[in-house]
Amino acid sequence: MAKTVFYVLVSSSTEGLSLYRALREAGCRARIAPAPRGETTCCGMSIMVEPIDMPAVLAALDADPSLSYDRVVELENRIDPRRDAYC
Amino acid sequence: MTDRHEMWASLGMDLENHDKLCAVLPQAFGDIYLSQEGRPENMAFYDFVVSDIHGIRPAELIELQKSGGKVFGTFCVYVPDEIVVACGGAVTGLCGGSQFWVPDGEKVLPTATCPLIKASLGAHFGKTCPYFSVADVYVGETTCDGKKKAYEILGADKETYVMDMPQMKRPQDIEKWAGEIAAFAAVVERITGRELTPEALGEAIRLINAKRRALARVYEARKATECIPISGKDALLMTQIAFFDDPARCADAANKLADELEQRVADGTSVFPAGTKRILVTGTPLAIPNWKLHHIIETSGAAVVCEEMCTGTRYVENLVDETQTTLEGQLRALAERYMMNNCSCFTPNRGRIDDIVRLAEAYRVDGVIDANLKFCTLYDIEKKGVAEALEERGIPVLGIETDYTDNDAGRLRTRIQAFVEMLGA
Repeated sequence: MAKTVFYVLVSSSTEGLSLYRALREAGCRARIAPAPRGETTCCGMSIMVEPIDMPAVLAALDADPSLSYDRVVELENRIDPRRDAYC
Repeated sequence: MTDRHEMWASLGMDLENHDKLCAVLPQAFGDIYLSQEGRPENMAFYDFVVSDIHGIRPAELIELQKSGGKVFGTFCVYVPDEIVVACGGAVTGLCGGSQFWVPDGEKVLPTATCPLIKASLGAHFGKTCPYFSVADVYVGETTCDGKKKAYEILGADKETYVMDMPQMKRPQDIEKWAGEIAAFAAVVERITGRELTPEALGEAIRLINAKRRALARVYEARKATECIPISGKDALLMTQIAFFDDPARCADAANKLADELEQRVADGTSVFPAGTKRILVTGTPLAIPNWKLHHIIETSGAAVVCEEMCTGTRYVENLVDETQTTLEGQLRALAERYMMNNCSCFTPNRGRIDDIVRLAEAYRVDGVIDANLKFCTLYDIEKKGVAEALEERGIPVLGIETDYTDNDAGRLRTRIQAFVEMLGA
């Protein structure tokens, strides 16, 4: 598992879903994830991208100006399936 | 990101406290769901829903209300969605699957109450669940003593209609349930201001049946023995979300997922290594976001391939007869379908044991985990009969009791790992 992970932050869930679909259609590997706490003021979605896949995602974003998003942040990858901390 | 605070404030929610819940979701969902490899592509829809679970659907329900529609919040699979849908209303599940809500529930309920009930009332009185806040009316049912008394407390704060569930399954009980559904229909007509017609009810029956068929296709794919095309966690998430979503969209999403799973089965694409032990989970319902048991099982060397519970096969099996053209016939058909569910509130309840055995064989499971939430006496008492029936057939069973806290996770993990190792011995 990579030490960091990128989150593409979006201004709305509608925008995020459209962006996710466009990235997948462009062959990019990406996943929908809850927006990381601290980076947004509210609950909502983001698009999570592994570092190895980020160049392709950036290329896809550059290639299609109609794909809108807020910003990209790189954060420590804190996913831990053994944490046993539930909601 | 769309700021939902204004919407939540308009619903009278406690924004400061609710933000604390929003704060823990990304980490928990990441640990439990996004740590999985090889998930079906069509789970993206469900990830999307969870990411904004207190935003998207509540906003839709508010829009429905602006156009005169009513929202019915329900707690149980016995409440017939068809009646509400036929009168232009929407049905939504209600919050109740997180420890976050339990302390507020304990302010109005004894501590020795099951966490599902405590969390539900906590979500209402703590004003930290938009589904509770947006609902025009709650619809309860007499499926356990705890809920019966809890509805009295809820009903003092918001209109709560309680359906009187029969406790046996004799012909007169099915007749009684048909009468209860007719009485509920009259209440729905009053609240929505819409007359229930056979045409509208027929359309609603077909819609909800379509939803059941779509969800059942996903379950059917989980019977494959050559591979396990979807994790139990993901299948559970689909089922949990089905309680909240628009039924047509729910059916569409489930059908897309089922299409993909059927292809995965044909291709032999599995999310678990070959030889992973197959587990059936039975017991008390797992309301969203209760993913604890499935996560522990699936990070302990096994996979959940079926849930015999209200957030499982009981929600998707059995269809309502679509051939009836009169209200009387349709209400009777609804009663017959809903009374096929084998909740532990019934006595005797041999049907549940038969279901568990049937499903254990159909899903080719290696073992069964029979789990009840603490203080859920009904399911706890049925453990003995379930264990005896499974042992007669040589199917190993592990009985556990848990709640929503993290405290017992290590102990559960140890017991489940030992159980899974025993299955391989």
